[in-house]
Amino acid sequence: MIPPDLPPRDESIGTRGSRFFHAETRAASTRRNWAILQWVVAFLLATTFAAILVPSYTDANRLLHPHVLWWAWRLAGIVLGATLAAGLFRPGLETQKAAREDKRV
Amino acid sequence: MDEQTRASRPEPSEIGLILVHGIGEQGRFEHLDAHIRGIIGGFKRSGARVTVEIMSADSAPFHSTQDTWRGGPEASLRLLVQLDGRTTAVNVHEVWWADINEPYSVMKQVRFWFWGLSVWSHPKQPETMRTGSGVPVVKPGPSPTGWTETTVRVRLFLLGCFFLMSSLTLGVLTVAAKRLLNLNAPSLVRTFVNYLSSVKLYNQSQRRGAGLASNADFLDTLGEPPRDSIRRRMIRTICDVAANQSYQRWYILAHSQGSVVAFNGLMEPGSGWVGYLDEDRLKILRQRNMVRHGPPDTGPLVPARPIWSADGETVDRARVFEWFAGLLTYGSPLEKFVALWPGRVPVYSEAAFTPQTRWINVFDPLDSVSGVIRTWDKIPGALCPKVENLGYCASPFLLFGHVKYLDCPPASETDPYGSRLADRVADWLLRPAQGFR
Repeated sequence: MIPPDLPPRDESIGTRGSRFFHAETRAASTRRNWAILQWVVAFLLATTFAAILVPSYTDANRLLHPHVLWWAWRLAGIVLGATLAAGLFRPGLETQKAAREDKRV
Repeated sequence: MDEQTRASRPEPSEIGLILVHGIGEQGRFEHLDAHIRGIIGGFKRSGARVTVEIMSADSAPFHSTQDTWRGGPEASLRLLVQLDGRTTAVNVHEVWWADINEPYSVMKQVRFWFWGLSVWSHPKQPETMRTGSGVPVVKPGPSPTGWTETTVRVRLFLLGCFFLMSSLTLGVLTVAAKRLLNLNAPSLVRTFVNYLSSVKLYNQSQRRGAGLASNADFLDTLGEPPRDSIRRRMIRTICDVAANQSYQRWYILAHSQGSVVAFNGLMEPGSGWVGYLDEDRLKILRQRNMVRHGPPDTGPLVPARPIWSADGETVDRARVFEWFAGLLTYGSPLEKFVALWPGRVPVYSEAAFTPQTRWINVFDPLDSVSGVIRTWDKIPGALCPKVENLGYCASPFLLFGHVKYLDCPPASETDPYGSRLADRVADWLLRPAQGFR
């Protein structure tokens, strides 16, 4: 695997650089895949932490709540529900209204 | 001094440099101070001798703890760079707009989350045009990145979930650190909200005060969107630099959302410019023959035409940008703005740029804010300079690269000169024809 910070020299720009690459090259694609991988890991970490920490704090006697999975589902419901509701009901009305009606650049 | 003699003036050659910051809570000159260090390092790595002069103001506040830098029409910092027997003076100006962001309050946080979580369903903005200018907007056409509207919305939905979940975790950690360990941990959620609110601010019709205060518009932007205050800072600085006859060429380096600010400043039609200027600056532009009389306004301008400007008075952008050498955007979300709020980043059919003007966009796929810019590929270069997209490995870690473009450590001990972005920028400033090749 190509280290993410060292794209192949033949795809770099000029003769001096190793950090630079063109947009449509294998180096760019590797870098994009590396970014996706990091996003997936970050997402999993955020979910895990939230699923453990939030219920643990509500029940301060235990570090790990016995019903972590149940809490995780509940948390996922809260997060997904909140995002969905925000999008559907658009409580940020001022900005939404401005986007619809404000024809000023 | 005669404009025609600018390019052939004896040494030291003088160039202007405008730095524009992105989202954040920067103090005045903080962005300039942080980002110019990398470029100074680039000059030094090239073997040049560099002398830095801070242009202090003539006066300072009584009992102040720090000296005051010059922040008016003249440069705040001057770098004298001597390389191969030639001396170049780089005069640095900063466009600072962090103070336009709304003051932090609980209500700001509430409004932010309402807005942030609903961005995925943001209604498509209708066609916008600058009322009163009569200059038509150039339609950029569909984005060549190939992302459908549904894909963008799904990604935004997931991002909303991710940040909400992370903020719950971070919130709990902060409270736990304070209560259980008695640590005064910084509130990461508050910082995050304050940072990203700058994006929200750019799409608001009104600036809000702390708490429930409804209107906190700046006095010179009453009844106008807060983004007009931001653009005013940009356009006034461009005016200062373009009208400075000692500069043989000038550049703009714009980071993050600053690239949107810079783009707006560059693309604002000449009739719109007048509303952003003060009387003294317009007088200078008149003296420099950078103002002409165009057709009368077709309606009220936003921002409004000042009372000291005659109807139809227009800034001649072709004259303003005559010595404009180029724009560097790094970590720029411009393409995302085009997808979400195309009306905020219009290009007008008003020719202004010379073929020598370059636009270099540096992106890093690990910096999710940045991206390749292709929307304006087919527009003539006189309306919008062709974008040269350049990938750059700013950091091996997600999002960190966003603040590391000009502050990148060497990849290895034997890293040659030119392998860092700051080196290329330094090169470009000194040798515009060879830089970034």
